[in-house]
Amino acid sequence: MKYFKINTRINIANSVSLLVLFCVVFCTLNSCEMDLTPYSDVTSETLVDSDEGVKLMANGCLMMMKEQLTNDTRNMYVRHLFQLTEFPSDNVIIVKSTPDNLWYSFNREHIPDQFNTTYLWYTGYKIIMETNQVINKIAIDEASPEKLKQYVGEAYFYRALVYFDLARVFSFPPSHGTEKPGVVVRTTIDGDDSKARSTVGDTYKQIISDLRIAAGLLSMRDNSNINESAKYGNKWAAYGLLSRAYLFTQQYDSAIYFANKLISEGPYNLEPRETYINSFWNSSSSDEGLFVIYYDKTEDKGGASIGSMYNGDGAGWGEVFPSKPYQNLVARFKNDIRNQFIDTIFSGTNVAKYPGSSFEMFYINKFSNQDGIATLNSPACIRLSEVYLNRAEAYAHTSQNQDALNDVNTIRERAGLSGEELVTLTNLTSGHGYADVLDAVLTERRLELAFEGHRRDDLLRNQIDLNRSYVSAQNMDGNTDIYPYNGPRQVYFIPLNELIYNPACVQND
Amino acid sequence: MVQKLLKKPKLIVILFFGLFCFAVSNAQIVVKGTVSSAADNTPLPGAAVIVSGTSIGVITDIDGNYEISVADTNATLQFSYVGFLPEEVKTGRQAIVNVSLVQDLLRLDEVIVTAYSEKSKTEISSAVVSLKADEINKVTVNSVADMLSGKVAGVQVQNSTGQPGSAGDIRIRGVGSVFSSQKPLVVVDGVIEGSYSPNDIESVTILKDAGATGLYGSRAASGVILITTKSGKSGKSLITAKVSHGIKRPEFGNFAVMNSEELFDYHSQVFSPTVFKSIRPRKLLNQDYNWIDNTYKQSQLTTAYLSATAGSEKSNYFLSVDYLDDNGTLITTNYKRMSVKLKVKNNLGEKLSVTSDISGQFTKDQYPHWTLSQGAFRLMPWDNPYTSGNELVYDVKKAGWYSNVPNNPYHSVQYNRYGNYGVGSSGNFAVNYVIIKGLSINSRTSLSAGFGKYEEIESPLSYEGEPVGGRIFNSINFSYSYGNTTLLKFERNFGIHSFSGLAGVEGGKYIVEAGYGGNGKGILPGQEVLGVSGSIEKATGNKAEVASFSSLAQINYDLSKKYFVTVSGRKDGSSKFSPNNKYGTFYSASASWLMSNEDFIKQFSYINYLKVRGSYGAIGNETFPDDNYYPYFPAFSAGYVYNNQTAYYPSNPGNMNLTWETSYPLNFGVDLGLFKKAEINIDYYNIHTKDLLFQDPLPLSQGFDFQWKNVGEIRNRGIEIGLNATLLNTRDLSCDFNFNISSNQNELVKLSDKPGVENIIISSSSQRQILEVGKPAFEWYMPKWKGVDTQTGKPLWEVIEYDAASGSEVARDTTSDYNSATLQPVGSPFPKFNGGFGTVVSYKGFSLNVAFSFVYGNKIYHYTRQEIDNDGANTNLNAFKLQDGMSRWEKPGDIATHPQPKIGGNSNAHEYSSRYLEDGSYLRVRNLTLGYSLPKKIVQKIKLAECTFNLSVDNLKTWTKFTGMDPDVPLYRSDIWTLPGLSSFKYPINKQYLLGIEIKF
Repeated sequence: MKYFKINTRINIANSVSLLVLFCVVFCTLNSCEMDLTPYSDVTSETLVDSDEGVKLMANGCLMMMKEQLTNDTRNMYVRHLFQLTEFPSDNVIIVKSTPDNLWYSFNREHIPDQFNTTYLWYTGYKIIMETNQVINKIAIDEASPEKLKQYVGEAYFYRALVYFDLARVFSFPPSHGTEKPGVVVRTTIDGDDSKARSTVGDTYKQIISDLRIAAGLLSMRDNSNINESAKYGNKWAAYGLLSRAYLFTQQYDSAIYFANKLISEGPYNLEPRETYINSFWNSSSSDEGLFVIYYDKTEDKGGASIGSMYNGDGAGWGEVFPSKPYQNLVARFKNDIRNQFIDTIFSGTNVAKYPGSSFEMFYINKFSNQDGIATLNSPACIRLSEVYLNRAEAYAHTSQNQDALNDVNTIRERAGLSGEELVTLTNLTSGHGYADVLDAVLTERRLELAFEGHRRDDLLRNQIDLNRSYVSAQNMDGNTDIYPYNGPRQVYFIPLNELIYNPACVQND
Repeated sequence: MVQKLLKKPKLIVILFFGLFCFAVSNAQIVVKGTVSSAADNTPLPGAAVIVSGTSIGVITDIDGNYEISVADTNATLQFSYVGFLPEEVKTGRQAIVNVSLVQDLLRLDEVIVTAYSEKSKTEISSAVVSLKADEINKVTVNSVADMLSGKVAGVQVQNSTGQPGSAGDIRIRGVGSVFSSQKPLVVVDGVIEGSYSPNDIESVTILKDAGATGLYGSRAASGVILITTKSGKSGKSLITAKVSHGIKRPEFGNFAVMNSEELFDYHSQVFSPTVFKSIRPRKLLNQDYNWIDNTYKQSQLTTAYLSATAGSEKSNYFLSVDYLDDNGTLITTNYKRMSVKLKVKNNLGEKLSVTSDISGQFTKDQYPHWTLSQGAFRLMPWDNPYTSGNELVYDVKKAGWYSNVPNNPYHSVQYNRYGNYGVGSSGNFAVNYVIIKGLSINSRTSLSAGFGKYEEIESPLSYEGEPVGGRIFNSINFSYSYGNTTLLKFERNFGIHSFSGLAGVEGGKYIVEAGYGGNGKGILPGQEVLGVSGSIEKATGNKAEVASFSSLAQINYDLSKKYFVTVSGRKDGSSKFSPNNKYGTFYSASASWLMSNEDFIKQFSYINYLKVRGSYGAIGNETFPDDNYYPYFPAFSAGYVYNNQTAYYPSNPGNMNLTWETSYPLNFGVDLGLFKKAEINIDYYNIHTKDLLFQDPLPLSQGFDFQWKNVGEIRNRGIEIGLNATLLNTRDLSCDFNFNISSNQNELVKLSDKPGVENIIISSSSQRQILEVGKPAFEWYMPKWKGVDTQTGKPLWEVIEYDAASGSEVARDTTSDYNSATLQPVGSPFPKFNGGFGTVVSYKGFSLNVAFSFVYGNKIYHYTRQEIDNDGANTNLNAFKLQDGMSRWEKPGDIATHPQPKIGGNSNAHEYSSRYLEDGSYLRVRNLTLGYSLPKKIVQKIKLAECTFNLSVDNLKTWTKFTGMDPDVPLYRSDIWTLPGLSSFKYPINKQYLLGIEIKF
């Protein structure tokens, strides 16, 4: 017992010092900073706090159109947009079936769970969400700094552009009835998960409203030149999109008004014939590209690029070729420069056949060759030629036939056509075989805007059936394939993950 | 008093008197002998030999020899050794008494490492399983997970892949929270998430219920695996050397793709006769390249291990060096690892001891581009990687390949390299100070640092590198962490009342700086450093931190060694939640009754151990997958650019209300020992998890696909049964048998913040699972496949018609329109039960160890088959070879499993549906080991302590109906791209034959 006691006493001293140690450890550990925030991420509040932050958000919208944001490298906003709109058209064929869902654009066996429509929808709304953050958190008035007006204006521009893209892919144009379902329109930050699709009419009202606000706020980013400015939302591109939007809503006077405004007041000009082909390859130096999604020369997306399906050079796949009807159309006039968008691939002196198939090989190079790289390209979302032809179509619908043909001929002349190759009211039917002026305009649109995703819209908008009675992998025997303009598969299904989690959203027929 | 004090830890008594005994001996009879194990005749060093009725005793030396003096010929010697049944021998006139001890299956005196302390088996009130190295290290593996495969009830191990260096994944007790990481906490020598080399493992303890894991609080939501590594031993030095070499072969299970002729026949059905004739010439049949056999080949692996231990009473050390060189069956893949470890323990006086443990590791991992690993299954037999001149094809388009691939992977692997290099080291320093007897303070500090480099080198000579003049990508990661645990421990007895417990604090921080480097373009062939590249495309780099702080306490009480109670509590803070929700308080309590210490049980002589126990607690969870360090934070991220300018995009909706998930596990268990030969453990548990951390899906139009939320409640219930029995135990021959089985059921109890919503559907790409209130969670959710229309050859799915008003089901019909098929629950990815069994048969020096594992009643979604068994949807890749019982529809009236093949597929028959959902049940011979120990006489002649040979075979045979490569699929969500029970392309597992030799001296 004695021994035990002595021991205890000695240890009281020790215990005290240990207790101190214990407290020191406790305090050291406890003082560890527990309120940690990310090093690389910030909140939207931090961003909207400065003009520079708003600019970086505007950049974010454009980046999302350009980049591959998921593990699946095929997933890219512009790739899906251009493929989903062009591949169902009568301009192209595919030489074989593929596990890529782009196949369904050819055989029209759409499903709601396509990865391409899902990604386009998802990323589109991600961009819209970012624009909503800017638009709802920043109050703009006359006195606001020009820079801030530009950045906020861009937000309106990108929101309108994305709603327009989504409306084209997932809903019928207003000419099929404005009461049909459009897309889910979200303009606030904290909306409920459940939100019904707006009508087509309201969807286009939103697009036009955003574009008009954008046109008022926008000038040219950082007062740059027209090429640099075209990499961002800008005033002139807003006018151009307004002409397109009013064409869709059949408000032809307004379409003509904004086309006029752009053509007469804007600094953009039609690219001369000499540099025309290159203006697609290196669109950021184009004089007529109003708005391009810019890829730097280090940002080649290889086999995931838009051009990779059209052009087998370099990292390209080269599996989608021009359809026979389109080839015949463009080949009617040898000096039409637009023939140069199609490269015939030879094997010796014969036209090469795609391996394991009987398809002759023709590569489309419209989305290629930026900085000499086969799969690199900065696609133009709107260019001046289209605006001329928007105006032409509006003129045609309002019986201003000569004005319509003038615009058509402006485009034809630039392509290198002259004399009887141009369309006049006299040679319209006899010489060229057009049914009417609208037919001439739509054919010119088909020639000029080929592979840029407009052909399907043109037919749909004007309620013309789609004729794909030619050989393509989904129609190996070249059977008659005429799909009615109002057929349900003219538009894609709303992605399943929207329908499941947003019960108010209805599916397309 | 002294007697009483010293009686407790037996070993101290023995040590004390062992040293003492020579001093007091005077002209008595000296008895010598060897103590060995009855099972295999190996000597037992450190066994206690005590003269009965006295305090005189010695312990055996390294060779099991002892020498003791006894008073007279009536003396009785008691022999005892941890893990063996004690034996008494009357010495009589014998001068040599050799004893062989029989293994005690129940090992009641075994010390089990538990949370923050050690306890004897009888004291434990919770569901705990402890395994010694010799029970689990037969398999040559990379992690403790693989060692435990099929060994413990309630523990599931996924074999993952056969990629060298890959470790299996382990899950304890079903699926609590599918979205948060369900990895059990691994604690190595008291260090949370410490590192170890599998060869250094001395024992593994698995803590399954709240009673056991409670002390780890939030970190233990998915159970705890405690690993104790070998320590230095006092006494003569011991050196262990192990070398093994083996071969392995890829194991493809039932899976096969077509050869040239089969593919030709298949395509003849896909295309119309005229088209077929024009695009598939008969000469294709002359070309039949086997891509799989040429890509996955027999390969070799070598391991070497050396450890040394020595020490005195003052200090001891343990040193080990471990080396592994593992070539993968996929050509070019290789994994090398080397690790060293030094553990030193010093007793500085009677009260203070210091242990330091330093280890370092180097790894090098080479892996292939996916075009090679997956290409082998997709490339068509009509394409030859070599030209007629026996050179590798470069341009596959010019070569006219039929396969839809951009390049010849064999050409690229000559030049390109994808690899990971890692260096890591950690130090672990523990101080233990005994303040007074029964009260000590223990402080453990750990520091670790890791450095890693990931690289991609694509030579300008390769398809991948050519367009940019060669490419080098580097990503350099650096991470370090520090932590401290300081505990005050006490232990005090008052008569029949014993108390013990601890209180302390724990905290630490982990900092990772990741992804430094960039993408360089323009290099010469063979160059491998980033600096030489002509242009660096984009510099990258990021940093993240996680901090935690906890205070904890535990009290244990036992009455008369019959009734045991443990109560613990813990307060945890985590930086992963918003400032208002950082702290959570958790607790657990457990109690047990050792009935076999009661007289009314003691009368049944065949019951030698009986314990009932129960536990309950509240355990927090804050783990997130994918290195998600700031899940609460509403984030805009940078990293991508536009026009060379910074661009911010929304990356996480954030949730300021996000808080701890808490599970409430209730556990009851019985441990029963019978006839001293068999032990049965039965556990029942019911884990109710609330505030489930969940990636709550959002409609895509919100701009995010999910938001982290605490969404509801899930319940897991199950039964686990373990059995160990010695069937035969004679001097030369013994036979042990073990068996375990467990069954788990889960159910979604409640969805909290969604009034009126009764289910959540989760998805990854197009695969979906549903959680419906009141139903088993995570059932597969998809159109139900109803076979092939015998008249049209078209696919059929089920349509359920509902009454518009009531929503109740009216009728079931079939449709050939994929988009009209009804999405519905079609089966669970989780097994009805799973487990393992095995046997160890020993005869003299030989031993045969066989371990089986099994899973029953789960549904696997065979995604690989969806990709390549698609009725003509893709005619430019190889296709799945139909197995027995499968057939394709050809003409009206055919009863077929597969629709008529058509270009682009038949009416979307290859889209997501239960057509590709398969039974995942299997039985596998996980491991078979044949061992032989050289007889002691021979071993001694060559001056060794022990010499053992082993021949082991892994994954010898699998019985399953699953048509894929491996039915062993992950049953959790490892990242947002997967779902539990999904089987897609993976690196095939190996059938591995390994010959090893182990020498001790």
